[in-house]
Amino acid sequence: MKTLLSVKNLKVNFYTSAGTVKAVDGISFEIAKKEIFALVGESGCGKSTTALAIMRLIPYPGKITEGSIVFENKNLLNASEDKMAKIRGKKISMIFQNPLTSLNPVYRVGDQVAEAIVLDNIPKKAAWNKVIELFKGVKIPDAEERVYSYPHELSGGMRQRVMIGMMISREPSLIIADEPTTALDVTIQAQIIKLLSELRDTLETSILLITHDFGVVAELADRIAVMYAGKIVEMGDVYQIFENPLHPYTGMLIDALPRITKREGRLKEIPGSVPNLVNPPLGCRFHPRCPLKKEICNIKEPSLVEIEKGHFVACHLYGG
Amino acid sequence: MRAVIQVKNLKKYFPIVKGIFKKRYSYIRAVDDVSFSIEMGETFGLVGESGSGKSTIARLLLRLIEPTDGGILFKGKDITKLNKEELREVRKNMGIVFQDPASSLNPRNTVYDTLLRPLKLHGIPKDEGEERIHKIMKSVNLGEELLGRYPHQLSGGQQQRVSIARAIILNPDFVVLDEPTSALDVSVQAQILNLLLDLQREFRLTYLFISHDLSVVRYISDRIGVMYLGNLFEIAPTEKLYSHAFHPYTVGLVSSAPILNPRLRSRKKLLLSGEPPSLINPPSGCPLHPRCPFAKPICKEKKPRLIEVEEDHFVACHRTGEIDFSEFLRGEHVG
Amino acid sequence: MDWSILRSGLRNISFKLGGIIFLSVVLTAIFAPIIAPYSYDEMHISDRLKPPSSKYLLGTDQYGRDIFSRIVYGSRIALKVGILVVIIETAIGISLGLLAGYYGGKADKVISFTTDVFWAMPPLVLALAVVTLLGPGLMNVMIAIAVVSWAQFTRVVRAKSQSLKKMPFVEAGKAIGESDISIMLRYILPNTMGAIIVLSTLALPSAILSTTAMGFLGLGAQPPAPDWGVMLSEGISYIKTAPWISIFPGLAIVYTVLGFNLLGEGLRDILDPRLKV
Repeated sequence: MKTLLSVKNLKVNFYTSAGTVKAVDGISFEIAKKEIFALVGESGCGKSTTALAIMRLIPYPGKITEGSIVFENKNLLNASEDKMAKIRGKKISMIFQNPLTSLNPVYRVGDQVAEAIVLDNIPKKAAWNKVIELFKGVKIPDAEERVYSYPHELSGGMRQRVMIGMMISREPSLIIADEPTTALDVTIQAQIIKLLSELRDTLETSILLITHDFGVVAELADRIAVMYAGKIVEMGDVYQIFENPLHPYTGMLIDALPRITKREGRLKEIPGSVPNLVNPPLGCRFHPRCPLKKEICNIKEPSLVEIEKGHFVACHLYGG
Repeated sequence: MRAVIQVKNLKKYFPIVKGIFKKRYSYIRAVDDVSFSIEMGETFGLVGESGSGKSTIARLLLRLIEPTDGGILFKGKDITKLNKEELREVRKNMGIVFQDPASSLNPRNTVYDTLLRPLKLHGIPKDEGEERIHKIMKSVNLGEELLGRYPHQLSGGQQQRVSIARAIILNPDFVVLDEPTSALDVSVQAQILNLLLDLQREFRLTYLFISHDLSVVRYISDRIGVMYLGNLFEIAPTEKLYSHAFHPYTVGLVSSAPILNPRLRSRKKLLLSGEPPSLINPPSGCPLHPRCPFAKPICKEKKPRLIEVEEDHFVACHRTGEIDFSEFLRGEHVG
Repeated sequence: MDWSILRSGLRNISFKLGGIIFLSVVLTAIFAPIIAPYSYDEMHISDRLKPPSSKYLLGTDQYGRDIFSRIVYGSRIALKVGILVVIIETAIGISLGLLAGYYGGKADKVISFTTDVFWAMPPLVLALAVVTLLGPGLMNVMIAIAVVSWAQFTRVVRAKSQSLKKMPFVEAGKAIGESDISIMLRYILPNTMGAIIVLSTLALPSAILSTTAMGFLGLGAQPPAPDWGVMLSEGISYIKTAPWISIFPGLAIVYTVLGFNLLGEGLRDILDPRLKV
């Protein structure tokens, strides 16, 4: 399986007036070609920051301080801004959470998508036809008419499809989807999940899925990395993570998700709350909330260890 | 079991006006003839997607907005007919918790001020009020040191607990919860849901729990109502809804909802085509017919009424019982 | 109140500079009898039209009155009048804004229409018209200026009320049984304070400028009151022979108005990111 993207020891800091926030503190993972890789975690764990780091779009006051991001054999962190601009949208595309705010309200959606296509030196007329084809490809009904609509005339699900259409218009190798279904209704969410899966097959792109929603991950992802407080605590394929979660956090998180009725048992709660990333706990960042903690957890940070093929965990219970 | 809430043929139409002379142009039929009842001590879940009308129902039940037609009986009394004074009295017995914790609290008030307000409004004397505040903070698992804090100094989970405390501090009978955990992280959501269950037992509360998240509703509800475009399509006890739903829309919702078992990914899902239509010009007859794979000519002409087809199981569909949905409901929910 | 606001205030140049000027004017007004060597109406007939000297710091006018002392006492008039005007403006403007924004419907239509009408009129012309109606006294001038300037408050408060009334915490207030007035005063008004503070701080120099303009035109404060506008106009006939009679009051006006404007703008810069609600 050829590797498309390889992130090694990535660190991103935010230098705020309250202190230095270690938003991403040394994470490594790989995305293979045609793979749907999910970065899961609760708010503040660093997953969105990781996505922005790959696109080199970290806003002030953040900075990538360490690590490498190798995409198609080139380290993106060494690339010039010019080179990055050519990669963004063309080789790596990003879909954002709220499609309403990502589309320009004063331009027709067809124009917005065409704007991206003409960057590849495709003449206007051909580009316009491509837009219609794209809209059909993302299952927008009445594509020929829809291209003339303004964003506010479309529903949330429709707008998300337009965004997806825009993002695949230049046939990227990697699509980064940041919470692509969060603002959508359940039935529309199912349609979008189906669409993304089909796109992976037909376009042979890889997808980096960023989300807090385990349900979407279960329905869509091939491999998963679970993040907590800026670190990856567990990584494996989707069956390994759901059927054999090793890290206490992963297990507790999955147990905290409602899937049964109250009569069958109570949801397991995770005591405490997410730590302050300016002064994270010493040793394992999860230890203050961990029911299985040992002495060493307070002292030494565990490192990722491979327990079964492809299944990694960072926890002293497994000799991390 | 006595019904705490009885909703009878409730309608809420929002007029759309256009032009300088504000001519009545059309209506948004947010709630279009809905009837159901909630029994004492139960949790009634209301599910639906955006535009279904569930949030409008929440506000109608507390008369935060006025119904266009229909009745709302609270412990036998029709609250739509009450005057300002009587309504105030009734408000002592009802509470509401909203979705967004941050904007549910007055940014200018401390936690203490927020909790004191309902007590002051209803004439609770000072020392009794103090006692109640301290007691309620304990009940919602908030430390007393948080009483002097402002909302922006609290986490989302803490803000929501304050909201809940405010809703129950006057010891109401009935609490409306409008998407109370949708804006919260998974781990916090679990804490809040369990808290709600504990509070229900401790204070003997009746809940109307509104959500778009089917798994959350399944966890907390005793009975569930399914709404679409201002209409109630189905009401059933929780387990029955997930294993033996009769309405195509319910089946569509249940089968499309993500399941936490990746091996069931390729299960058969009843996917409804297209998108929910506009609330201004709803389809004729049954509002689902343009998207329903089982629609027949009668579905376009006549709107189906909500009928009790089995004990405590109500459905509004012309084709009830004619379709076998078992292949779609074979997911984790069953057995 | 958030003390961190003061901290960020001290980093803002406009605020600092404006603050210093503001304080200097206020202190001058408070300690006028101590600072001023003479009383404002004390005439020294033998020393009329004298240029600045060690005896008369800024010279004397055509009645032999010490200009410096008159300017010092004039600060009292400027401040008193300015503050009163702003109080009247804000009272009218905020109440109307709250009613229009919260109730909507007919009340809103009537209030908005009226506000737009007043907003569209040229302020000084309108003020003149009002004074013509009511007569030239200082009180009437203050009313006139307040009347032409409340509109800005109404517009802002109305807009904020409209968005705030939709917020869940306002609905929660209604749900626990708050009356309409209570909602407007306890829930909506406190959350518009940021915008109001900025507007009123900027309205003050505006009011001072307008009243001195009125004074210049002979309306408002009557002689021998040391109103800076009146002093300006009295000195016009002597502009060639004794220019200091007009120049110094003019500078006082510029100094005060500029300073208060800086303070207001600095305040707005500081409060703006915090105007989050």
